[in-house]
Amino acid sequence: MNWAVNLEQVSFSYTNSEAIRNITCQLASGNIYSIIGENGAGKTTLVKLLLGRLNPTSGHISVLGHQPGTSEIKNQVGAMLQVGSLPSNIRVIEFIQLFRSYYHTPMSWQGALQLAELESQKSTFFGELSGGEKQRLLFSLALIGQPKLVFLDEPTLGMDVHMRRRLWARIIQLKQQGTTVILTTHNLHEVESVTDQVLILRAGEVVTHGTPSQLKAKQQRSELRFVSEFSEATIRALLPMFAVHKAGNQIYIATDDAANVISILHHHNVPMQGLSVSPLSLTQAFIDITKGELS
Amino acid sequence: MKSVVHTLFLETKLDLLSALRTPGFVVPAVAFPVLLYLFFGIFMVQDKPQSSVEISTYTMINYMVFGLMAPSLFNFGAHVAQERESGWLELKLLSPMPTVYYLFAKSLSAVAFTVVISVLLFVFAWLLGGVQLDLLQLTALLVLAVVGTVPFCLLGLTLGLKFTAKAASAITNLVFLPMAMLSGLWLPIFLMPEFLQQFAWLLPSYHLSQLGLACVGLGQGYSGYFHFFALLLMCLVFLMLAAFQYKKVGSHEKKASSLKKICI
Repeated sequence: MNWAVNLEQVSFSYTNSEAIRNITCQLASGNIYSIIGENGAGKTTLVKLLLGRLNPTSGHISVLGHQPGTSEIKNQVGAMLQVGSLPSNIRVIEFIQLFRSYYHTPMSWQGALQLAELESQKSTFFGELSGGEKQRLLFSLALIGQPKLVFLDEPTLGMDVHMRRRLWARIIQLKQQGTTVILTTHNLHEVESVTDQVLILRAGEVVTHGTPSQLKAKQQRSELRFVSEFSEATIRALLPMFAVHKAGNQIYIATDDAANVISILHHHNVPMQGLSVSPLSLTQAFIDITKGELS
Repeated sequence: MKSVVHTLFLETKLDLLSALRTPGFVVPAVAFPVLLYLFFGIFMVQDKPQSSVEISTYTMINYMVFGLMAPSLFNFGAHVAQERESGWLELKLLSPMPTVYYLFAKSLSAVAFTVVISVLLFVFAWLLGGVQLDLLQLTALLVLAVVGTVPFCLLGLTLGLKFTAKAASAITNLVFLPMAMLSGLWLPIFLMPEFLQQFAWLLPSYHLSQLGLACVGLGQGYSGYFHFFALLLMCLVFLMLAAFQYKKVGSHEKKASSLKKICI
């Protein structure tokens, strides 16, 4: 098997805390992986270890068959991190030309501009770009060296709906070309349809992994959703045994007994507009899994 | 080789462009030493015709040192801290570009500012101060100015790696201004209280200005070798501090833990 990433008993500790705890796993080439976890779960540390920015306290890491962080590996790896800001007074084309010069076989500057969809803004200063345009430029810079492995940290942050769709389509295209993609994100709804494998991290450990369908099936529950003016706390008080979550005016309830939940809510005269029962979403599966682990 | 030169060229170009497009950096860095020189080295000494050329030469050397300090200290101190904090440096460190290119480009950028400031001072000194230096002396001064950026770049790098962006700007100023004053760059040190004069021995700017003065025959009695080795020693100290700080930024502590195996 051709592994893009191989971790053997990898641990990493900061001065006062253990961020990664003896993780052993292999990620196959040409797949899309999503590393998800709550804040502080160890996602960023794991990515930094894979990028060679941190050295493991113990264990061994191999990226594309080599030690991460070497010049040869850096030529084959791209990364789009959540960068606060690039220098605001540098033009788009200047960044592209600079980053092209770093790699052995970069894409053309026209190709990079096209990928960022910034052809008409090549002379625009970074500080004058919108949030989504900045993200697109960073995405393009991550891919400019035509990498075999690419790390994308919240790639769609600040992008509009149309741009998000195009970016996910581009990520799927990367996979089809044989590139391994490792995503770290909080937006599980978006990655659900594109990711091959999900790794759920908690307190520096991989608590579970699998395809999105496998993770959802593990929970053997369904998701009940409806629109309600009632607060999350009120609904939760009525259903203390179930995971309740409200986003906007939409209520989500993960349950293994949808009929019983509906009956309870009816009994308490809770209006349920647009009521639907569907298989559990990845978001709810994630909440269930991490809550289960915590309890 | 071609790609190395090309990357270095682009890296330096962008660093310079970023600095040149920041008037808040360019104007004080270039104008401040030149204006101070015009005031203290030219206009203030015009009523002393018997010694005005000597004073103009003396102040020209001191303001050349003062002028090279700011771009070197700030381009490394404040700018490295900003770039480290914003993630720009991180993106470069993740690329295949060796870190040394980044440092070299920043040094070249500081050198470019140094050359511009020095040449401006030479021209004003010649045109308005009547300072007559031969080509060898001018070349020696220019080489000294270029090489003289090294200790300040290293000191700036240490500060840039140690402090946050906001703190680094303030602390670089705290280092820069007293260092210039205590080295006698604004006021000859013999006019300062005796206990303050002793600090000059510890400052690279003092030794650099003494080397510059020696180049034009205005040395103050100590051998040029003495100042050269003092400067070299300081470079080594700053290099060690910068290397220590660089290592500290990425350091971590080892701990053991239990095994978990997952194969995907």
